[in-house]
Amino acid sequence: MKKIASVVLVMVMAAAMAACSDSKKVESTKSTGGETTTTASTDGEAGPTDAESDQAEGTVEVSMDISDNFVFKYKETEIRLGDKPDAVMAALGDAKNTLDVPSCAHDGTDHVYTYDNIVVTVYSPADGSGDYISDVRVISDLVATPEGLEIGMDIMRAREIYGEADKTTDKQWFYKRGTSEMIVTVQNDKVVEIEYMIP
Amino acid sequence: MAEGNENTIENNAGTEASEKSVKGNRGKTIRNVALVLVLLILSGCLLYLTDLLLRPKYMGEVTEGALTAEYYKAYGDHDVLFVGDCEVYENFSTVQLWREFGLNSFIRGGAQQLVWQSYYLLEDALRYETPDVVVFNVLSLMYNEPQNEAYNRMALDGMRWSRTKWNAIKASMCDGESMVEYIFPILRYHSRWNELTSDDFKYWFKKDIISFNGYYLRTEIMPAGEMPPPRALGDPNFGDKAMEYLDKMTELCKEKGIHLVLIKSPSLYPHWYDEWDENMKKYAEEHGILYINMLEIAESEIGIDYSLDTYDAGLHMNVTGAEKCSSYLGKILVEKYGLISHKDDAKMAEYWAEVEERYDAAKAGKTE
Repeated sequence: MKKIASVVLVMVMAAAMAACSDSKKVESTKSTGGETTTTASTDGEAGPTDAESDQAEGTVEVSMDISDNFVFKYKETEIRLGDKPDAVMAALGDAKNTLDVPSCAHDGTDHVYTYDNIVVTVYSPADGSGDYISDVRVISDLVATPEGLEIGMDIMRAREIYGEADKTTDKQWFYKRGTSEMIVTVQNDKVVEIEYMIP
Repeated sequence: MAEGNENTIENNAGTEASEKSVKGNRGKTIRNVALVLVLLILSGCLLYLTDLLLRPKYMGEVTEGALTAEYYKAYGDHDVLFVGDCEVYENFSTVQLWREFGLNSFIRGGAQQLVWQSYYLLEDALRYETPDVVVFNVLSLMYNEPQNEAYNRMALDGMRWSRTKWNAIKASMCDGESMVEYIFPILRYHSRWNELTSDDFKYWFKKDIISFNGYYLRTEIMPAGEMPPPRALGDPNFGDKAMEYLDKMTELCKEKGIHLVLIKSPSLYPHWYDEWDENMKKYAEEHGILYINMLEIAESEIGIDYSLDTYDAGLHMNVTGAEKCSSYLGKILVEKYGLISHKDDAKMAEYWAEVEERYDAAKAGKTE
């Protein structure tokens, strides 16, 4: 009788703790006006960090590697996707306007800075794990990408400069580098927008 | 003879012993089975109580996760049921619809509620009632893929179990999610054991009501400023999955004799493209349903003042903006669909008197 009781209890506890052996990966998400970008992290954590930190036992913090990410250059300021924003925002100076877009579920806030020719978004995770540059959008044909692509150019210039896209749709070409992505939006075979983001 | 009697006695004794042994074994088996059952039941109860404790309560900073379950606590059949994202649950006041028109309404909204979730929440509601009108905010058609586990959980954990919930979860799951973790939430939330707060114990078995028949009230004022330039629209059409579920919603309402109303609420961001607006106008015309772009008439007809009626720079209305939106929409619904006031219904009036009391206290900043 005791043996049966012991076996039953062990089985129940084993079933209950079945998922405890692995750290559970949770996707934390931020919304950027309808665009959603995701950062892989462990339970309850959100956003990239530069180093492992103390975590609950059995979990491992995942850092976002930004070393290969796209870099945009605006007025001599280099803007690397995923990078901390402080130095960049100081160099860029005051924006024409700023909009704070909190997520509907308190999952962080997008700070959207509009300049003359670009829009920069800085994401602040809700858990305070570190702000980062999540999006840069070119909105004017007065600036070019570091590789020379401009709004208004024929879309085939994108292929000449960047090679075959990693993915294409009727209206958009997607290029990946590191943990970042560049999206070239096309209308009537012309580039109408260039956007860098952390997808 | 004596030997025979002895044998008989022995046989009888043996038989009795065997019978006793069989009975004894049977009794032992029954006891063991009963013990196992009792242990399983007790273990099940313990696991269930632990599960309830470890689940997020949505009673602290992030309360929107409590919205889905509040539907089941509302009173009576609803004249108007809203489904959709934060552009419904923050932009329309159900109390205003009651006060001005005597309508019993509920907003089954959720944070970034996706169109398939709206469909299944509607289907779930129709297990209990058949409203006269369903209002759906069309912004969520911009999403064609599952987005985020956290939002899924907020939308779905509060649903009562049914085939509808099962289908909603299947349609919503992101990579890495699994159905078994929705069936047994303890598998998903077990790691919260070291994050438990006093609120987890306070709300272990019962939660406060945080909305007003689904309306999430905000009183702050933050004037709208200039919005960022909109992104170039890649594809002017909504995705296949999104449209599939809009079609399902349209068909479901038609089947049940419910008037479906599509709206774009007057939130200024995310950007509502002209191409999307044209698509919705065309869809509504093709299906004989009403579509109202409240954004384009927000100031001229609804009376929205974006310097006073928004709590977050134009993204959502505060309570004064929500009341204006409700006043505008309510008038249309009453005139077009002949909705009648229930203010003569004593029980309904009593229910709404309590809701109004909480509402007025919240407006005055006197929430507990």
